[in-house]
Amino acid sequence: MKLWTIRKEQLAALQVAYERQFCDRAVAYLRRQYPQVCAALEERSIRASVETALQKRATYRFDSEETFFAYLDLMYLLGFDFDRDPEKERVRGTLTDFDLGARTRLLLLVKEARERTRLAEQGIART
Amino acid sequence: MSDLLSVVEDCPLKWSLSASVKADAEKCPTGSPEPGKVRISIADREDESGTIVLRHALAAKNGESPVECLLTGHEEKSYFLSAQAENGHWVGRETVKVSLAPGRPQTVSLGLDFRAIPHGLIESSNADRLLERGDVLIKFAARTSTFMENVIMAGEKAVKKLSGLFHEGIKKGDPTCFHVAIYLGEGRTAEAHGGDLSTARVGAREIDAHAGFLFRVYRCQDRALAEAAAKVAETWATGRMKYLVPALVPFHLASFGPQAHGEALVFGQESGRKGGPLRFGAMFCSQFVIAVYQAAAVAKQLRQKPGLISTDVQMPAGLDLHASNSSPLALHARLEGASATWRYVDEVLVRPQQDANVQTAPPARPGKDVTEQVQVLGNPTQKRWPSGEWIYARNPWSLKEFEGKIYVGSGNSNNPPPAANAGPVDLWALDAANGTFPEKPEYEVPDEQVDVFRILSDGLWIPGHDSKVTARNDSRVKGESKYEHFKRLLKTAVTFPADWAAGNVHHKIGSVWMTMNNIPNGIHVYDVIEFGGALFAAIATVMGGMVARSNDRGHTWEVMLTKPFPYSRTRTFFVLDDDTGPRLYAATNGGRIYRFDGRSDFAEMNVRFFPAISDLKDVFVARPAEYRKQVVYIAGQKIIDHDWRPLGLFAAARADSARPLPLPGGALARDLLVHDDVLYALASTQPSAQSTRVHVFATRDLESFAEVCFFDAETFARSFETLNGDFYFGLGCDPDHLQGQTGRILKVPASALS
Repeated sequence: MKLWTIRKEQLAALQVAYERQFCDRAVAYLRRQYPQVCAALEERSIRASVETALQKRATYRFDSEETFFAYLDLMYLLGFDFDRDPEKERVRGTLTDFDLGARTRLLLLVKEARERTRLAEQGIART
Repeated sequence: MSDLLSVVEDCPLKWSLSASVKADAEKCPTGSPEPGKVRISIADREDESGTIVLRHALAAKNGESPVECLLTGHEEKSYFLSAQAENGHWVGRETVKVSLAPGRPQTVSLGLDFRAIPHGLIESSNADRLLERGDVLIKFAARTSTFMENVIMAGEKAVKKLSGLFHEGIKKGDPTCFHVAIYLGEGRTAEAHGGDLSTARVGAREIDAHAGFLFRVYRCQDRALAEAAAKVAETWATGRMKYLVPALVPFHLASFGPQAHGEALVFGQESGRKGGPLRFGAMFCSQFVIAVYQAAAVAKQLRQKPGLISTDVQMPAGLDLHASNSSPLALHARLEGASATWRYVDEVLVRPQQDANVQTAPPARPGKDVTEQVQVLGNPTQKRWPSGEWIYARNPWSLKEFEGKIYVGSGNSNNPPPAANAGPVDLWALDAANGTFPEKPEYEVPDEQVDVFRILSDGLWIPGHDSKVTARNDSRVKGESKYEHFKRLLKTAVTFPADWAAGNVHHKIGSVWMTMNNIPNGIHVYDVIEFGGALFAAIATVMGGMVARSNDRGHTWEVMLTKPFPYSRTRTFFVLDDDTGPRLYAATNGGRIYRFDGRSDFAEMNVRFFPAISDLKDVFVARPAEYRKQVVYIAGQKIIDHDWRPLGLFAAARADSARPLPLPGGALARDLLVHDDVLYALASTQPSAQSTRVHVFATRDLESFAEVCFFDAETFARSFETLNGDFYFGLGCDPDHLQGQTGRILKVPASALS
C-alpha cells in the first residue's frame, strides 16, 4: 500500500513556487550586495540578469545556490557578458576547467574579482 | 524559467567527503611557484593498488583552496586521500585516512609541503637544486634491482626480524633499503657499487646511473663536516678499492666499540690518501659512506691532537657505528635516530627511462588531456594468464588493425622468469565496430609469443617468435627400452631441442589461420617482410642471426647468414631507397645493419645507426616504420632474452645518415604507426614517482612533432593502433615491475580528440 504519492502536477506547482522564491532571493541578494549598480537598473533588468545566470548553469556546470549567487557576483563585478569577453580569457579558462568543482571555480573567481575591484577602487581614491 | 531547480532535498543518510588543500607558504623560498592546480587522489587502499578516484583543487594566492565536495555515498567506507600539485612543487604532507558513515559529512584539510625539485624526480642536471655536498643517499627498492642488491635486502629483512625485536634503534631502519651513496655535487655520487661484479669498484658515478630508484636524502647539520666528508669521498673514490660483497654484514654487531674506534682512527689518519686507506682493498656501500664521514670527523680531531689514540676518538651521533659491520639498514636506522645532527630532507626518484637524446628534445607542448575519456575495452589475455608472474605474458606487444578487427599480440618467449616460455598464445581480435572481444580467441598460435603482425599483399602474417611446435616425437616408442629412450632423448637434446628444428610463420587466409612450421633451424622468427616478390624472415638459429627467403609464400625456405655468432639475432627488416631503387635491410642485435645484395647475401654495413648510444651490445632496430622515404625506428635494448626497453627514437633517409628524433619533453617512444600520411608515435613519460603519462605524437615532416593527446595511467602503453579516428592502446609492463593492468585494451574515441 502506498502511503504517500506526489503527483507530477503537484511537483510542478511546487517547482514554480520554489523558483519564484529563489528568484526573489537572488534579486534581494543583488540589491544588498551591489546597491549602486542595482539603483541604476530597473527591476526588470535585475530579474533578466538572474534569468541569464540560470541559463548559464548547464553551460558552466554549477547548480547549488551558493555557486549560483557566485555567478551573479561575477556578472556584477566583471560585467554581464564577462564569459564572452575576449579580454577575460583567463577567467573563462578557470570557469570552464571542469576538472575543478563548481565551488572552487566560482568562489576563487569571485575572490579574485573582488580583490581586483578593491585595488581599482583604491587606485581611484588615490588619484 | 528556462531551467528547473531541484525541489528534492538530499537524502539524509548520504555521506559526503569534502576537502581543501593548504600550502604552507612559510616553508618555501621566496619566488617559488604557487601550488596552482592540485590533484587529489582518493584511493580505497593505502598502497593505491585498488581503485583511485581523481579530483582537483585550485589553491588561491594565499595557498588555500575552497572546500569542495569530492565524493558522496551511502555505504560505510574508508578512503585514503593524498594530494600533489600538478606543477610537482607541492606535495601532500601525508596520506589521510577517512572513514565515512551514513549521514555524516566529513571535511578534510590536506596540507601541502614545498619541494625544490618538481615531483621529486631528480637527474644529474637538476640534482644540485635539492642535494648538497655530503648528503647521504639511502637507496630503496624501486623499479629494478640487481642480484647483489637482492642478496643484501634478503639479509637485512632477516636481521630486522631477528635483531629488531631486541634493538629498538634498528627497528627504525627500513629493510628495503639496500644501498648508500654520498653526494659530491654536480649530479655525481661517490659509492661502493657492485651491480656488475666485473666492474664493481669504489668510485664516482653520475646519479643517473640509479635511474628508476628511490633515494631518501639525509643531511648532516654540521656543514663543515659534510664538506670534509665529501672531500674524503672524492679522494678515496678513485676505483682503487674493489667492491666488497656484504653477504654476512647484516648479522654482525654494528655498535661503535673498541674495534670500531680503532678503525675510525685509521680512517682519520688515511683521510687524505688517494684511493682510500691502504689497509682496505675493498669496501661495501654503507661501510664506505660511514668511513668517509668518520675519516673527516677524526681528521679534525687529529689536527687538534696529533697523538690521538683510538679510545679518545669522538664520533658525532648518527656516525657512531662500526663501519665494517654496518649494513645500509644499520646506517639508515642510526640516521633516523639522530635527528639533532641529521635531517631527513626528502624522498626522490632518479628519473627513470627517458630518450637517449633527451638533451636535444624540444620542449613539451601538451596536447589534449583525454584521461577522462579513456574507455576500457577489456583484458582478453587475462583469461589465460590471470595473475602472478604470468601477468608479464599479458603484455600486448603489438596491436594491428586488419579487416575491421584489432588483433592483440601477447605471450612471452624469454627463458628466465617472469612467465618463462609462456604459450601457446590466444589470438584475440577486437570487433572494433562494437568495441567487444568475442567469447573465444580467433586462433591458438602455437608459439610462445606473438610479437608483431605484418600485413602483406596476401593478408595478415605473424612471425613465430618461439615455436611450441615440436618437430620430432620425444615419447617412448613401442619396443624401445627405457635406457634406449633415455639415450635417444640425450642425443637429440644435445644436438637440437625439439622446438628448434623449424621455425613458424602464421598466415590468415580468408577466415582461416594456417601455421607453417618449416623455416629450417628457425628457433626464433622475429619479422617477416615481402620484397621483390619473395618473403623474407628474420630469424635466430644456433649458428647466429640469419635471414630465410621463400619464393612460394612460406612453403619452402632457404637461409642466408647475417651475423655468424651464437645467440646473435636478426630482429627486423626495413626498406630504404637508394640510387638503384628500393633496398632491403636487416637489423641484428649489436646495433648492426645488413643490406641485401639482391641475389643471395646480406652484407654488413659500417654505419652508425644509433648516434648518441655508446653501448650497442644488446641494441637493435625495433618497430621500424617506413615514412616519406625514410625509416623511423626505436633503439630497443634487450631486457631478458627477446623483450626490450626503448632507448630513443631515430630516423634515417639512408643507412649512413641516421639521426636522433627526440620527442617533445624527452618522452620515450614505444611504438610507431603510419596512417593517412601521418606518422604517429606512442610514448610515455613519468610525471611523478607513482604515475605514468601516455602520449600520442604526430608528425608530417619528421622534423617536429605535435602532441595529439595524452592520458594518465598506472603503467605505460606498449602498443597502439588507430581505426576510423579512434585510438586503441595496450597497457604493458616491464619484467621487474609487474602491473595488474597489463593487457588492458583501451580506446580513446575520435570524439575525445576534437
